[in-house]
Amino acid sequence: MKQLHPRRNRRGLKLMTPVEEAGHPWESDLAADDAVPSDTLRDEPARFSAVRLLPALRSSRGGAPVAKPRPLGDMALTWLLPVLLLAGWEAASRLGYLAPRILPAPSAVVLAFRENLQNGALIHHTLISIQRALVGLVIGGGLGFMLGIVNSAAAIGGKRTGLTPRMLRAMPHLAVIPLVILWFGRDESAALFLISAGVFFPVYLNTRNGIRSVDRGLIEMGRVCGLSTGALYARIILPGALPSILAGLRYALGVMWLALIVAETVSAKWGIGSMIKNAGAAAQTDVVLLGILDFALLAALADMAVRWIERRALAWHPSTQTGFEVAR
Amino acid sequence: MKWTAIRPGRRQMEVEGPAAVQLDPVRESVAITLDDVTRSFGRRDVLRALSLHIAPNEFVAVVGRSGCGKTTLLRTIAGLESVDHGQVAIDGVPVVGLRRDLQLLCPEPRLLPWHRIIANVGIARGQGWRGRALAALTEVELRERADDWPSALSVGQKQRVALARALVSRPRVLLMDEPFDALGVPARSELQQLLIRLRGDYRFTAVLATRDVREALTLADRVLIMRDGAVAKEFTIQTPLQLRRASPALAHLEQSILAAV
Repeated sequence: MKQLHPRRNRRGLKLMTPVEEAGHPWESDLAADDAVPSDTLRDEPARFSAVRLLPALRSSRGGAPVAKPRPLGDMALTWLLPVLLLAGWEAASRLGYLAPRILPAPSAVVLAFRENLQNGALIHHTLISIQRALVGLVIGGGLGFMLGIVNSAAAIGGKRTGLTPRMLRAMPHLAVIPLVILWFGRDESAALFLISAGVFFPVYLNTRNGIRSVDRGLIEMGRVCGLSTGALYARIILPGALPSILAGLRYALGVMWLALIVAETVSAKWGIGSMIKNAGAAAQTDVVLLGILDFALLAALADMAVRWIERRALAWHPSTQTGFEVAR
Repeated sequence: MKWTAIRPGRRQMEVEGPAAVQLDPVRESVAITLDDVTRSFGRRDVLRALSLHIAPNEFVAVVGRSGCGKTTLLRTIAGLESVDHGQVAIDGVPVVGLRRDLQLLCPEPRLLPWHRIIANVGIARGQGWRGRALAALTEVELRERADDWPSALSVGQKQRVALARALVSRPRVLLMDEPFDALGVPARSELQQLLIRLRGDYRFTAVLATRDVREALTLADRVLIMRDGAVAKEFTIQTPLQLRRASPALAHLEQSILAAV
């Protein structure tokens, strides 16, 4: 069965082309995730994707031959458990079996959401957290990327370098929090340091390893064809290392959220982490849960953003090409 | 680029008639000279006091078993390997590094999977690269695949793209290291015929390393038998390229070369 699906042609124009495979770009990806159980931990945030949660959409849009259209009963089973769980939870709260001090009712979380949205607190906390995370990511990731290039440049030239901070990498960086607070105080800079330090290593190591694993034959070909060093990096080395760099970025995002939560809980006045901490101190469990959901949403969105970049940047990669592309 | 500045008197040899005058004077083919070249990796001598002269526009095939030093010989001429002793010179200029007028074809096509075919051929970019890349693709009969990803091409087509990429810069020296090795029989003879045709138009000095005697006999003006890092024997082929397929003299020569390898 064919269906129309927007895809871009090689000049970047959006085309309506028949695609025999899955309808939504995310969809095939998720199907691939299912086949690799070891990958599921890393891909956890993507499970919030609406496409995955609504298998009915898939079959109603004309069907995807890759994933067999599920029977209605199957679908009901998928939804039955969460719905039952929520209903049981709500009932337990209302009947007094579950004290609001332990866990708030789902309805209370919804109410807390409405209240915090209306008084602007939620938006403010969220924006502060996003800003903090991004600044930390740019500092740590930028440093890691640059050092990765510098460190591997010598390896490209055939020399071995000794700068391998294995010990630093193996150390859980959150363990240095007391030191960080002594250095920076309970300040914005402490939070930024923690996030940057956490992001630095995955980006650095993956950039370095990505560059080192670029086929030497391709680099030699570039030199024989007379490419300058800059052109060599732009056309051969960095594109070759890109899959690894992006994998490092996705891993770094996970570390980034973790460091953000810890840093905000420890030292910040604003941000989702501090919102959770303050609410916890005041026994407002509904706000705590709201903050947790907020974090989960941000993490899922960030992961989707990197996946989108991957899809765009790795269009050449055989694993991202559709049957349409290869068949030509 | 120093090779345009230092050019000893090769011109008298080439300029013979009106047709020759029309050729781009910078793009005449050049001679390759190896003088007593020795190269060892660790304790193993890969090239042993190898001396060799290849005339401009000549097509030399180097035949030998695996590990006899063919690849090292080509890489030394290309400037990718240094020599321990002796000298390699192209057009009278000692080879110290890579030259812009030299191209190397490897057993694997070495295409960049993240670039379309056209961008692979025009990898060196420069002014008007797209037009030149298209022209080169036309030469290897792959113009209609210009906008495909390399992964969509067959092995033989990929090797033809690699040949087009080498031709874009109009090399004066073309070194080929078993370029047909991974190819099936039809793709192999297709690429051989292509090379024979392009030789006339592009006027490069060519060195082909191969294990296939028949391939050497199909393409080359001279066949060198290499053994243990030195030239053991050499055969000059007089039969014109077009007549070689059915030549009984060549069948006889093939037997004696096979005996020598």
